[in-house]
Amino acid sequence: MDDHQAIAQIKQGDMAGLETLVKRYQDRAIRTAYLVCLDVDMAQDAAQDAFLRAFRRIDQFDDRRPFPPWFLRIVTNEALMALRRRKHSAELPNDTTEPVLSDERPSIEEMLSTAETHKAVKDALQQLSPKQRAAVVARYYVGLGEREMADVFACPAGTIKRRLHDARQRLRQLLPHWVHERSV
Amino acid sequence: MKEIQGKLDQFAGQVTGSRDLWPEIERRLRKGTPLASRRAISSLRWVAVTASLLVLASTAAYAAGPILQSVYRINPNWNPAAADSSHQVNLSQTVDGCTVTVDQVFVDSERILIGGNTDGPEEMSLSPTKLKLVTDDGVDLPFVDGAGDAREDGTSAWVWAFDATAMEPLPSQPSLRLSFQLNGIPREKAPPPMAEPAEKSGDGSVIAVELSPVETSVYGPFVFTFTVPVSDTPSP
Repeated sequence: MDDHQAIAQIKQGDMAGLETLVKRYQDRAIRTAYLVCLDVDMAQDAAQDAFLRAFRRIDQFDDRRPFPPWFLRIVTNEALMALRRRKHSAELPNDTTEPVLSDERPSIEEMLSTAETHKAVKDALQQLSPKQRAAVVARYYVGLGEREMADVFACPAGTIKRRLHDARQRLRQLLPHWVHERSV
Repeated sequence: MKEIQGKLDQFAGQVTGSRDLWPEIERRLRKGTPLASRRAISSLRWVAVTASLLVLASTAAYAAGPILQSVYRINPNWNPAAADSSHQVNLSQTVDGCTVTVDQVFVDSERILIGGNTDGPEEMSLSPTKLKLVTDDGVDLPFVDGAGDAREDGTSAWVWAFDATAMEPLPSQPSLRLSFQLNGIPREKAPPPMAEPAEKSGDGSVIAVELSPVETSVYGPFVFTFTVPVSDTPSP
């Protein structure tokens, strides 16, 4: 069953369609939310909320377009809302849950290198404001255009441009090895 | 751009299939009332549904333990054990279809923690306003801190902290009056967290963010009076 068949099922009230989409996109949804929240538990909750919200808004989905970008926009927003619900907390959640590593076992050297990279990336992302982080995720991970992002985040395109610019500047300082000029 | 995309992909890729979301989503769909099926409920049936919800709301306090515990964990200054050493109040009030329950209160010489839950319209995002706590002889106890855990089904649990040091001398059983209103914004129109009134750019200048006017509904006021013993245990 492809995405559009699954969506057609949902619109007819058949939950099997939703189950298909959940199974197909849950990992990607959790990863997207994790990039914004930097917390596995919160990311899983946000992904879950995003599926429910997508289900409730399925009538708004344009069948002529692909499902993932539309859905991942919702995920990004849900992740931001999850952070907002935690806004009274003084700092980012202490993620004591280590991400579950994939079954593919790299060599020790690769693991060390990867661990260093992951830590550097996480540290860098934590240095961004939630807004900047969400903008980076929406642009570079989800692949949204600036106009779509302006729509998602309910702000002018100029604000999105500025937010991305500032985020890239910051990342370039923090991660000079992988954010080069040509990335801009 | 591909470099950033690749690194984000690699970084996010460490989080993998740790949990199957479907069972919980299915449970929530069965438990809640998804919009698609809600549309099929006639007005008459809504009366019965609303009446049932009001009955459920009156017992909500007894089911609030776990969610309150989770709220206590939000603030690093609060010990979840405070939820256990708190005095059970269990007072409920329903105004304009929104039910607020004050579940428990903890008082010591420094701090007053009030924990409760709200059960409002699912489509509204609610936030407290005009929060005020006074003693029975009129001493205003300043609000210090708060945390909440909102659920998409319209329920939320919260804990508010107030400064108790203004009560001098500290009575053994202070009588308190808590009042507040709830501001409701349709979830669809609630500004995303990124759309704050202003933000600073990298060079320190302030960039204005356009916000469209949003109609706000006000619920309340909610007023609760209660008398609680001062705890012997140290402030959580």
